[in-house]
Amino acid sequence: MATAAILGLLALSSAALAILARWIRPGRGLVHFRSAVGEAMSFTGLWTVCLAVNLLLGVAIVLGVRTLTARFLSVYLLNDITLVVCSAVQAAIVQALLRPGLVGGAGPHAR
Amino acid sequence: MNVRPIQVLGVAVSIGIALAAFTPLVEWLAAAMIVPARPESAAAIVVLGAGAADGVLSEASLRRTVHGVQLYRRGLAPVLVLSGDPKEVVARTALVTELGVPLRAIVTETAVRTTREEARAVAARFHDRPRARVLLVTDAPVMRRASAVFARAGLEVLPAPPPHVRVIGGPERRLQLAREVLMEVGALVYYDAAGYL
Repeated sequence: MATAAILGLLALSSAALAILARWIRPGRGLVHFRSAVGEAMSFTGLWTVCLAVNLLLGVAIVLGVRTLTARFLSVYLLNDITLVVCSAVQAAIVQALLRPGLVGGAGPHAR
Repeated sequence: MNVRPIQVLGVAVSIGIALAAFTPLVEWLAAAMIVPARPESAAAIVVLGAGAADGVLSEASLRRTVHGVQLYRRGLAPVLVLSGDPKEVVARTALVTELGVPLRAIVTETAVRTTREEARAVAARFHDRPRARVLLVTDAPVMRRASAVFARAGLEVLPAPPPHVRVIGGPERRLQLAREVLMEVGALVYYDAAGYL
């Protein structure tokens, strides 16, 4: 029941967003949609990489602290949803940084 | 259309998340990890730690403790071993005594921080009884690793997980279960690589 409700809601909101997008930017077609999906998949891939790096680094730090000091850190420290959310923010920033044409301090808007 | 490796990864992860959230795939994987229960007579019931915050037991700690009490009240063992950090063990002891377990039947292990340390501490208590039988109480997904570690420490393990909690609550609960399964697979890989199993 919850699955059907969520999928139905997503279908409805996606249709509404598609109409809104065509209203704001007329003339956007299938090619643009494909490109947008590609961007979203790039973001998801980057998110996965950022999360994997955070987890591997976290495990290395935990094991390093255990080995090198008398202090005990639990690996379960990494079982926190905040890490997943912050990895998404990292991925968004990395994606923006890698985007061609990003305006920097030396660009035309610099004073 | 030029597809980059990072996009391929994104597609794979998106499909994985969709399958985990909207299909019973994770429930099947979790069921495959379950070790069958063997609730038989033993020297002790060992309830593994699962954390407490400010003296309040976590959901897993509460579930395991209550199941340990049920096994004790069925007369399967004369001793109930409660392990975990000091605050968790204090909260657990208060609960089990309130549920009718006498203090003389309770043994506590507080100087333990990992499943391996729990196994070693319990095995040390039975050093005069090689291959002592213990009823091991921990959550079903953890049981495979915990049983192996306790057996490695020299004990005969009778798995006694709390009743399997069927996934209810839809996609969010399934994703939570997926995280638990992934974590346990990671723990199994680590314990195996470290030679603890």
